[in-house]
Amino acid sequence: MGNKRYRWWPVALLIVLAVFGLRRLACESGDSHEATPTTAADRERAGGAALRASSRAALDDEGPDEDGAVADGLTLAGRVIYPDGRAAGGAAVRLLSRPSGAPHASMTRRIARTDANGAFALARQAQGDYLLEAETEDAVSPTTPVRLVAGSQPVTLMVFPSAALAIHVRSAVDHKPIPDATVKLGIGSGLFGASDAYMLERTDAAGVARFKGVARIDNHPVYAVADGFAGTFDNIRANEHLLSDWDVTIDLQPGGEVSGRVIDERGVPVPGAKVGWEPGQGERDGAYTFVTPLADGGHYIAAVTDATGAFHKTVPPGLGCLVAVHPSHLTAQACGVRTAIGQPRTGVQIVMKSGAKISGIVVTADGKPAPRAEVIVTEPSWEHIPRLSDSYRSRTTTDAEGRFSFDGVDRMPLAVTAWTDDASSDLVELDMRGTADKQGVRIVLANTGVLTGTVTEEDAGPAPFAIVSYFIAPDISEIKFVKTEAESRGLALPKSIGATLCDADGKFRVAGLPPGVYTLRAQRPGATSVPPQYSAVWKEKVALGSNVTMVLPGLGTITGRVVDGDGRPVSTYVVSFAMFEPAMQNAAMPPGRPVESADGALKIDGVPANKYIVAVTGPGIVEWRTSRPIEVRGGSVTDLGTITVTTGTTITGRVLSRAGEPVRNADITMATADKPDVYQHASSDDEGSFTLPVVKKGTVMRVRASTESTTSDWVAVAPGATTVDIVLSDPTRGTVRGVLVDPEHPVIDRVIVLTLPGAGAPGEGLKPEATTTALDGGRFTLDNVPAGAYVLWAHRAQAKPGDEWVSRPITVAGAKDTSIVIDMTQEPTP
Amino acid sequence: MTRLLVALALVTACSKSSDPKPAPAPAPPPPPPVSTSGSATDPTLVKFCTQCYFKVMDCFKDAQFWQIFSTMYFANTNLAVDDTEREHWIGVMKEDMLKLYNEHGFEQNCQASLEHTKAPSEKSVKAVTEAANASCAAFASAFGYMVFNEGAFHQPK
Repeated sequence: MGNKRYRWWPVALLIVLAVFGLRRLACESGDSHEATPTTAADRERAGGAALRASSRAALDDEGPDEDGAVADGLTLAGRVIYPDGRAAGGAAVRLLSRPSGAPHASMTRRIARTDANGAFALARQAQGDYLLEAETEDAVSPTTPVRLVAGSQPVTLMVFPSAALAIHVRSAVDHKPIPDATVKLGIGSGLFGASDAYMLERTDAAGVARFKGVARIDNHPVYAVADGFAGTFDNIRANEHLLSDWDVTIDLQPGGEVSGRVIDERGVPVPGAKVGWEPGQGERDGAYTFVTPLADGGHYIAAVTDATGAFHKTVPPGLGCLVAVHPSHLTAQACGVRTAIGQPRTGVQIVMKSGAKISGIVVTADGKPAPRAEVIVTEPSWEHIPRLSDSYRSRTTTDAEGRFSFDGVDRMPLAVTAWTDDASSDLVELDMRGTADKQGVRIVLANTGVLTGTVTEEDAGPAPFAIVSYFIAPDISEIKFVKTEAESRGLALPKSIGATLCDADGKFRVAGLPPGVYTLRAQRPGATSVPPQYSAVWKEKVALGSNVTMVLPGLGTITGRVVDGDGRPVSTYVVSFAMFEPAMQNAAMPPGRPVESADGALKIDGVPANKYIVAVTGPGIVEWRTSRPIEVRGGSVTDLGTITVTTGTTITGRVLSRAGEPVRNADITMATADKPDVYQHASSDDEGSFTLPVVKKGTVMRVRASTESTTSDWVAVAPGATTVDIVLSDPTRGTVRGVLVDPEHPVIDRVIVLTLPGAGAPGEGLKPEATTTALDGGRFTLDNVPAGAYVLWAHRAQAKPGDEWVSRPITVAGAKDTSIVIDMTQEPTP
Repeated sequence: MTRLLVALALVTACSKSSDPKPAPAPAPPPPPPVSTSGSATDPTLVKFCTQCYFKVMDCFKDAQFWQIFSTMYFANTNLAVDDTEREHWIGVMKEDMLKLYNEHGFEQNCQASLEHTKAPSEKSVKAVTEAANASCAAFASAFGYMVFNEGAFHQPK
């Protein structure tokens, strides 16, 4: 049983989605409000997303009164206001997540509207922890955690300016718009935990689904599906959309239909199982364990079996496996399923095996039963990630006597842990190998660490509703020799990482923390003019019991004027900001803010005080970049003066296979003769076409294209040329086998990256060509690497910003294993 | 570890013969003669060395052990190899270990090895011992590092 087996998928998810705020969208069967499905998309939606958010029009469509209600439940009441104190009447207040043991409710029951005074009430809710979000047509609140107990005070949600989002859904084949596609937009911040709520809209005749009240500081997962098309899951990143109008395009590939049943070993149907599609040959038996192995936890992409165990999905054509996940059974798969467009595949059967049972009690530090504690089954080397917190296959809430039980547990070394809002337990390790029923497990909520503080503005005034996130920082000197870094740091404990929201006075409190020192991060609850993370302030090595003050960077203004070489104003351009770091001087800039200005004037307010690299680009303009860090001060204007940009050469081209076919999604690497170690990148579109960053006229440069399966030689581009075709060759490929040696620190899970030689570091000027993580003993393998010269990077165990990596040059031989040992003992401590 | 040196020499020769394209690998040091004559050796290190042998036998069927151990060898010889060459190297090593095991020759070879090759550092002994208690993969990394990178039981004194 390799640990990697149950660690690969969230890593892949995080890399693929580059998620900062991925939220979870839970699914269950039996949405009583759904019309009888008549199309493939309908059927998938009906099965896969019963806990759906309704469209705005459906907000008024209250579901059955008993749906999700608790007979002796409590009323979750509160008020929604604007920053100036005005009541936000007519706002929608959504329950983003509810206690795991609470009765499920359809999304309509999970939405309340505020009255003219901004007040709302959600009646008959279970006691426990909730996440809320309020939205109006043009404003949205940050994710707001609430602990609902008898006598709870009403909660206040403050709404800040939001974005309007238009999602264009097209056919990937002909780019024609797809009307009536179903689009689900995830809401809520992953910093606080998983959210299973989403907004749902259908595309109009022009193939556009429109959403309002979208949080500008969060990433948003989005899923689109249409009749005859396989559903596509993507992530909308807040830092790529710096204005209030967001525009996103999703291309859907035609799919093949597949249907079947999920049954247990006795042939009994398993209703409520999530069924996902994994292309390829599948995993070995027992590879899937205590987490849901679907990239999104199954909220979007999974179909959910009905009462007869039946499911139906539209999936990409090709060979793959159907994977079924259910809390009371071991995860199962049916592989060798080949799907084709227009040829429905029916009768697929997935057999789920039974697992072991665990039961016990959660008690407080003084031995009293702890009712309504959350309990999960995890594994000591697992690293808890809040946004994936509902991916634990076994999660429940204790009853009034503190009791809990799980069924369908994997027979392997596991651990259980529990928490409430003010206490948490350590891991209780359980070796379930050869055990069918483990009873009498006792979990003690012994961890009661508290952190309190205040977040203020630069002028010492409170920062109401600022977001404070935290994570445990290990005391390196105390770390014993253990198998994994996660294990050594206790990262499997859910309370080791999380977030909370300040109150109206900027005060915060988090409790129930395990022993250790913590790193805190405070951030504005509303968007600024730059990516959300730029407005954050950090505090490190905070001891439990501390009462800290965190001062947010003030907001300043940047001005200037953009002209061309003849002094004429440039009216359309894009301004990008990057936090200043030496490596960023040669790295690609993040997405910028479009500016339209008849006289070329540049004025951007709301820029958090910091040191930046500022760049100006535009059609036909060679990127202009500040040569030194630009310091922005709160309440001040930083004038960049006259920015004279140069008109350059735009080079376009195509990536072709050796047979002359266009190659889509190829990565094109460009290096100019004057900066041969600095790489810029572009991607080929569906026609294999690409446009390179504008270069100075007469620049000598070279380009190279690569895909996952092949690459090209470097192609020289003559000065003055405006087009270039790159033909992918069939180079020999090799394998890198290595061992990371670092006796002083755990090596498992350390990141290994292969880049081309050049200036910068992985992700900061150098694009990773291949990435992996070290396994037991420090071994790692990078397969299918085009032969050539590279730099191999290994992440340090104790990394300081700017010195996270140790690098080694390596020449990969074709059709061979190239071996390397990275000896960290020879590296000076950063 | 004298036998290890024999195995390494054999494998290097095999690598050259099966694929003449790679640059010749640096020749490993000539194997010192096996001797049990009574020169003084640190009994603690002999015991440690013998325990390493037995740990290798414990890990005999562990693919991760051999992958790591062979990677560390090839990394230190700058040899690029294909799967066949790697498996060949591992096969020779296994054969040699098995032979030594059947002959009950671990301790004798450890004594001889300590007379002629570098002794492990205290730090390495500690690291290898800890790793041996962790997993075959961890042992392979620590043991391979001690042998191939530091030259203990491998490079002449």
